Amino acid sequence: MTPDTARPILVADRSRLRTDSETARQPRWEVRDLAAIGIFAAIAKVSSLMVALAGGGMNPLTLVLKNLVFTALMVVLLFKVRKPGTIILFILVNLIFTAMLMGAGFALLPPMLLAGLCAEGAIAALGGYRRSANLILGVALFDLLFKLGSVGLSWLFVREQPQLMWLMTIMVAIGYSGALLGLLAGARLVKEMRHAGIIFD
Amino acid sequence: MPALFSIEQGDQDLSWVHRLDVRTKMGMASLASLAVVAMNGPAALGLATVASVLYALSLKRYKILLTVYLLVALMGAAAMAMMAGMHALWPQTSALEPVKLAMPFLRTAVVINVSLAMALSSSCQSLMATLKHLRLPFTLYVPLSIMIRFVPTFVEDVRQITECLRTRGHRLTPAAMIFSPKLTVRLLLMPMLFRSIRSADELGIAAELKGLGAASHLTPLKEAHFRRVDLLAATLTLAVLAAATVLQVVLGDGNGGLHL
Repeated sequence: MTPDTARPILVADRSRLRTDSETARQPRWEVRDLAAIGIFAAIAKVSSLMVALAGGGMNPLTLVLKNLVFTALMVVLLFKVRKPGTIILFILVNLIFTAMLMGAGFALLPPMLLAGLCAEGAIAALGGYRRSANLILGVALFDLLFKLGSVGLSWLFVREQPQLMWLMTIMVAIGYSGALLGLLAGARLVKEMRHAGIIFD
Repeated sequence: MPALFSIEQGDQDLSWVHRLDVRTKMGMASLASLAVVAMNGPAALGLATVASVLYALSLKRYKILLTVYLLVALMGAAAMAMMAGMHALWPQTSALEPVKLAMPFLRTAVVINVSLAMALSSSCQSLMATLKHLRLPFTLYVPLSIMIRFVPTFVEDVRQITECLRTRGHRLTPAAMIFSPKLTVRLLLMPMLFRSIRSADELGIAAELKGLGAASHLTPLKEAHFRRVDLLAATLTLAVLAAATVLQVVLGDGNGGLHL
């Protein structure tokens, strides 16, 4: 090996060396957090499908139950993974999965992402993920903004027949009542899981 | 060795939609979903619907498609009945106009067709390969792969829990689930969550022990390449959407309007 060729290799090797502080630095997202987000997203998706199939389509009870399960799972997830960005990651994972397997998720992206960003902002403004009340408020805000966004999106789809907007608004409102119940159910589930030692403060 | 884990079928049994790269199908689905939101003319939406039906039919999964179309028709009938009732109760609202009412359902049909074609023709393995090829950030790739891999496990967990409930004398029928949500949460959701959270912890620890971390560089097992069929499908999609746009501009919304 001539000195000319040896030099760049040495330089390249030196660039790969890491200091102790760099090696010791923990990544912001641990794999177990990401695994929890993926698993909760899977449960939310499959449960929604199961409830929809069991209810035989879009009846009001099915809508309430579907939203109840989704919101309750989101509350439990936030208590399990208390890191800023969890809501956004959960939303993105859900949307990409829906888009890849079921389609129709692309249109939901802007309202859902906007609602998620607002919820994250509200949690940060209220003092962060450490306070339990902030998590519940964040999910409540997300649900509210997302449902409002859904009404706007419905208008884009049914704009030729304004009467259908009433139908859509009623359906979204029924769904939102399920989401409100989901907040209570989520808080109850968290309490039980704390009792079981699965979720810690 | 990788061949042992391959679950893909032989090419001779598959339709041309199966041979498309998942990225092409995703692109077609997203383009069609966006285009139908912009269109409001019966001719333009009709053309898009016919093209999407042909695309979905080429999968040869007629039974599933028929079931989905029946469900959409049922939804349409329910919407029409509700609107007719609304008009009877509140005559100030405009009367039922079948052409206008058809527009939302044509949009839904296009979205359903392109989505079904993608969902029914993509294997779990090809989805995972696509995720790697999309160069998604690690924080998105890991939960998505876990989500795809976890769904069958989760369905099996639910089956085991319901069997356990049956041996204890509880029968969780769809009606019971809807009319007794509290009991459903207690008997089904709680055990499901307990099992899933345990799975999340186990999977996370296993992944960390295998060295999967933010610094890991992921390489796909099977390289995906765009083929001639992808180019053909993309060209056809663009041609149909261009023709639909021309129809939209020329014929408008069916009421003489010349707008998009």
